[in-house]
Amino acid sequence: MRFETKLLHNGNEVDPYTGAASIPIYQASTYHQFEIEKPGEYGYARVGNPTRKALEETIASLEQGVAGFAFASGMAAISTVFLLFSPGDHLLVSQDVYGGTYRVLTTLFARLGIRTSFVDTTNLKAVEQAIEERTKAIYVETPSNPILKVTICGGL
Amino acid sequence: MHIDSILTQIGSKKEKETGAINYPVYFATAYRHSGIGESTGYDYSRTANPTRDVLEDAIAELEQGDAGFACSSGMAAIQTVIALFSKGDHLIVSLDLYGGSYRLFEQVITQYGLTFSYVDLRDEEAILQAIRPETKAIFVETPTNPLMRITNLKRISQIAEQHNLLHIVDNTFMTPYLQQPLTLGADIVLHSATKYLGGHNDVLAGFIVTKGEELTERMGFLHNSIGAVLAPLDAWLLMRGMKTLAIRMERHQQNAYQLAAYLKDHPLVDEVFYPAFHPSNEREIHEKQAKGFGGMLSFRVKDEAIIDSFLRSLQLISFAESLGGVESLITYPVTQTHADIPEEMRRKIGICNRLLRLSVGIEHIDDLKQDLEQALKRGGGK
Repeated sequence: MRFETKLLHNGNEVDPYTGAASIPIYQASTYHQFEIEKPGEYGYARVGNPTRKALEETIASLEQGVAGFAFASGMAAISTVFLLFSPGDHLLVSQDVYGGTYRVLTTLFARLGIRTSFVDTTNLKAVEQAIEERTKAIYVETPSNPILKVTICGGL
Repeated sequence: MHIDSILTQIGSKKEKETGAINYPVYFATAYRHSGIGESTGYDYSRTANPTRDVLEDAIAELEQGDAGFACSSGMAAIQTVIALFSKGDHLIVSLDLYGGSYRLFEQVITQYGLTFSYVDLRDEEAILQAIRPETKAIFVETPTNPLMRITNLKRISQIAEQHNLLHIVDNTFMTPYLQQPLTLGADIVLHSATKYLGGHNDVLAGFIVTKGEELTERMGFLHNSIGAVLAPLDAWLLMRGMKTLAIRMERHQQNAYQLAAYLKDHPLVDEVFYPAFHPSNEREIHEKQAKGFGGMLSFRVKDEAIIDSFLRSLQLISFAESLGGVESLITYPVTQTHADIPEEMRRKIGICNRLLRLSVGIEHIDDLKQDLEQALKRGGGK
């Protein structure tokens, strides 16, 4: 299926119970459980919510990933991704990365022992030279913000 | 003004343009600047949003703190508070705390070099023994979840002050209507606002309230930098729920008291955990620091074998994970709220396979009693 079609037809376009042509907003914070041993798909809204699931599956399909996770803000998403790393780990990050990302890396995550080098990711040689033994990830914005520099993703 | 009136008036008289009694939801994520260096105070919705501001001012006033911060969930609030600490820091935490907090501490935060000691905070000797040079805070739930144990907040404040520790209180179970930890010397109050503050099992949210200029500034920085903020519509829903908090809490605790008394005398029930029926010394501490006993209770049945059919037989009360809503909910902590706490530690705390937690709603007491009665009868095979 082409991208334009996937945006409209993502498996969530019809509510199976009522036929409604748009997934309802499930506002419930909690879900009744019918079995002690077999918890239902939905237990508590932080863990899973049908409306959020529809959105998360859509972005996973659009980005051709395995799973999507929706957040309270872009910074909440970025902070959660950085929590994948452990103290002593090193990250390579685009030189002209968004200021909010720079702020959280150089204050909070630096305090937690995660080290960051900001490199010109359009220069693949510079990227290669910056890699250390504990480098665990390369974090890229392309086009970058605000200079719109383009990093060659395949090269990285 | 009485807290009942502050609650009811949240958002009222704040909208000056039209005089709308109910504060509007500002969905805009960005705000126009008339020139460089000029701002209305609003730039970007993560940093500040007018609807969220009204809500945050309200919780700060209710808890008598300096500032409130609304987060996308109670766990987001806890995570944001924990970001105050650095590698090597140590925290003392209530022994039987919410399983989600335990999971965050042990499975996420410890990998950044923070350590946690789980201490029965009723035991002052144990607290003093747990304090190390690198201890930075005491994190309290009172009553605890799910065993409703009581911590003396004033005493903890004194200990925290003597040892230069932050005193953090999760006030979800009591709400500021019944208990205001900042007035007893705490530095930070946390809420899962999904619970009593929201009150209708329909909005996921959390709060942080701080006292002190420097702490407030640091928390504001983290709240904006991490970004786990509350969305405008959820802020509005929460505000609407909070307006009726006073009247709901009164009914919650009235019902809970009666159900606790009923369960205490039931032949199939072994033990009931409700602050009104705690040993007198613990009850007195609670009575001194809180205005009521709240709407939460836990109970241990005599025979684990009845639990499955008991839960299946309930008609009115829902078997679901959460609390504090108008509808009554029952939780089995071992498989739900506290499943992420290792079995050995659960046993030490007293969260056994015979324990159930009841969030008593505001239905008519006779209907609640009748539902428990018929389900216990069926569970017990009689």
